[in-house]
Amino acid sequence: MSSLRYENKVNVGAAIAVVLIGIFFAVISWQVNPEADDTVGPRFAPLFLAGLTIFLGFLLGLSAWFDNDSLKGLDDIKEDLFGFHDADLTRVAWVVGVGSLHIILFQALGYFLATLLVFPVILYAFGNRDWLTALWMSVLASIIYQYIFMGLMGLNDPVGELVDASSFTGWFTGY
Amino acid sequence: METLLSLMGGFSNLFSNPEALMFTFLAAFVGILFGALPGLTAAAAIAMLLPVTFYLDPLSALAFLYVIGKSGRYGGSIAAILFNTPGTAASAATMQDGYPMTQQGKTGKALKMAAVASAFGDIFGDLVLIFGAVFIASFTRTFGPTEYFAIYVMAFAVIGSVIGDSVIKGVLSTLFGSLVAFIGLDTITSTERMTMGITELEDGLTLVPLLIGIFVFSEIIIQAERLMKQQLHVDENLFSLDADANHLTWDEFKRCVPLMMRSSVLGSLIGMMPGLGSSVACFAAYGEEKRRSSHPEKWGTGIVEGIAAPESANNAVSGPSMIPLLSLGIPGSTIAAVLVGVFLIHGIQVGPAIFDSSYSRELIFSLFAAGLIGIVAYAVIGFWGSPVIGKMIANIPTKYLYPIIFLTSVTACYSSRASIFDIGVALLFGVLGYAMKRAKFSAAAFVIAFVLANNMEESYRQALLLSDSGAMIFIQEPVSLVFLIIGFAVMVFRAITIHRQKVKS
Repeated sequence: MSSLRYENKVNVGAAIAVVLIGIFFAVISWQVNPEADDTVGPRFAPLFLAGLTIFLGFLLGLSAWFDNDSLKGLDDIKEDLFGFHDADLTRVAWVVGVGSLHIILFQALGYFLATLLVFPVILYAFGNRDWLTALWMSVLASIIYQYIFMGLMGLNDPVGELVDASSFTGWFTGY
Repeated sequence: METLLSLMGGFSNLFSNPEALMFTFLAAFVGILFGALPGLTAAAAIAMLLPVTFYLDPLSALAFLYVIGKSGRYGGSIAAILFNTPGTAASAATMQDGYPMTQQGKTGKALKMAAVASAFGDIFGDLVLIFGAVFIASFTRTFGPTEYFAIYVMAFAVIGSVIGDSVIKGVLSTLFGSLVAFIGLDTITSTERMTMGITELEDGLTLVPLLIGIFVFSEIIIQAERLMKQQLHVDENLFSLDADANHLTWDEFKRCVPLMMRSSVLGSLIGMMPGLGSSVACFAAYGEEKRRSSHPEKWGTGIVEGIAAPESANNAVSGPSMIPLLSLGIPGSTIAAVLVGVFLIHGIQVGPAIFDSSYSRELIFSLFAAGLIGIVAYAVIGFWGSPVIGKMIANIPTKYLYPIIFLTSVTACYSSRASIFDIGVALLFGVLGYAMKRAKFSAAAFVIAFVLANNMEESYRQALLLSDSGAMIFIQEPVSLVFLIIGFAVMVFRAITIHRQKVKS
């Protein structure tokens, strides 16, 4: 593996991921009730495509492995946005974490409070360190979003499981 | 003649609907803005704004999204010219002469040429669409499930092969999209498939969270990574230089007309083929016009021709990329794939039959009219307003812009069917989209396959029910066989071309 060029290493890694995804889909599609034996039922297409995914995953891995020899002697160029050599996984984790936090808070506190609490965190994840700006932007954004989506567009605004802020948000949504 | 009359009817319908007209103009501006923001694309804008259209009448909804797609393509040129960063992949070729012109103090001229060439190509492409789609649909309306299955297979093979640098990765992207589309109830037997016992998955995954995840969240992650490394910069003095140098002369325009015409033809031909998008067209046109030029050495140093060719070609793709959608029901681009969803929401089945019913025919021609009005609108905004838009974008701090986009996207996911679960789905697809970008898999192929997969499976099963010879029916039917051969041939040809390129390099 260490003798592989960077591009081929990424492709071998991608191939392993593809095969695993293919196996996952093969397993869950195998559990589908086939309905009837003599016709093409609901299981056929997902199972067939999962099989094809596994096959192409192997093909991708093998071609990356054998391509490596033919490219020996060339510079091992690491392109931007290819592979993870220039990735900042901490920031990726921040964005995903903030998204997950928003989901949890949405369920627990409702949309308005979740937005109010999450917005400063996402601002922080994007490098904003001015807490005063974060504070006024969060208040303003949560009121505007609440007004547009729940007020003007009339979206369902579920009450949080822990806090009911509907009597407060009703001031600017009219509900 | 009938087509022309229908188009006139479309204009009259559009002008009698002030809401649709207003959304057409709004879309022209929104598209430019999103296209000009490096990293964000028209597809991202459409994904975020799609839920808003659920509250609009069909014409306003379709016109809004369709025109965003058009103006977004043009908007990319602003970033390419001003910041040396293509706002969209379609504008990558424009950078080669656009940015040198900016460095020479000819920013205004470059931006004006981009607006004129984009509108020229777009109008040409729309005329090809208007007359081409009706003509092709008259042949394809007799197709049954056997032919449709073969067309879907061909589309998957072509889209998978031509997008990106690897046929295997392209085809795998379409397979992922299809597998994800199969989650939920089977359309024929209503059997649960791959739901893993999660109740929310029984209705399947919807387009909005998937699009937002793949196109917006993945980009937000990338921008969060890049934040500290790259900040847009535009020199304030560039806009205040010699007025003559920033003026696009009539001679320069006349000189570019034949070149824009040739590039528009090329762009239209490329646009008709599913999967081949604006990014291919702009480089093909740039390369071809440079080859034809009597002074090829001047290309890349900052000449208006170097902007006119790629811009007219990449915008000429826009209209014809709708031809496979309207004549066969197959989206040739990501934007067309999203429009399929909007048509379905409003109870309209896309395909050749769309021109049969008077309601849908009127709607389609009104959409064509909105497209033409949208082109004029973005050309006017771009011709006089692009320097201001450019300055505005350069002055928006990324650390505030992307959190706002994040919040809007989260809310848009929720709004599609008032489901918190959908936010989680979008987040998951955001990570998947990010990984796909990093491993060079195709997000566009993934989305198009997601939209088509269930129809493909349905056609396959319907064809088998009609067949006495099982799966052989796809080979016995001549039309179906031709489509299958085309798909296979394109895949093999593309694989050989890529291999040759590798060997050469």
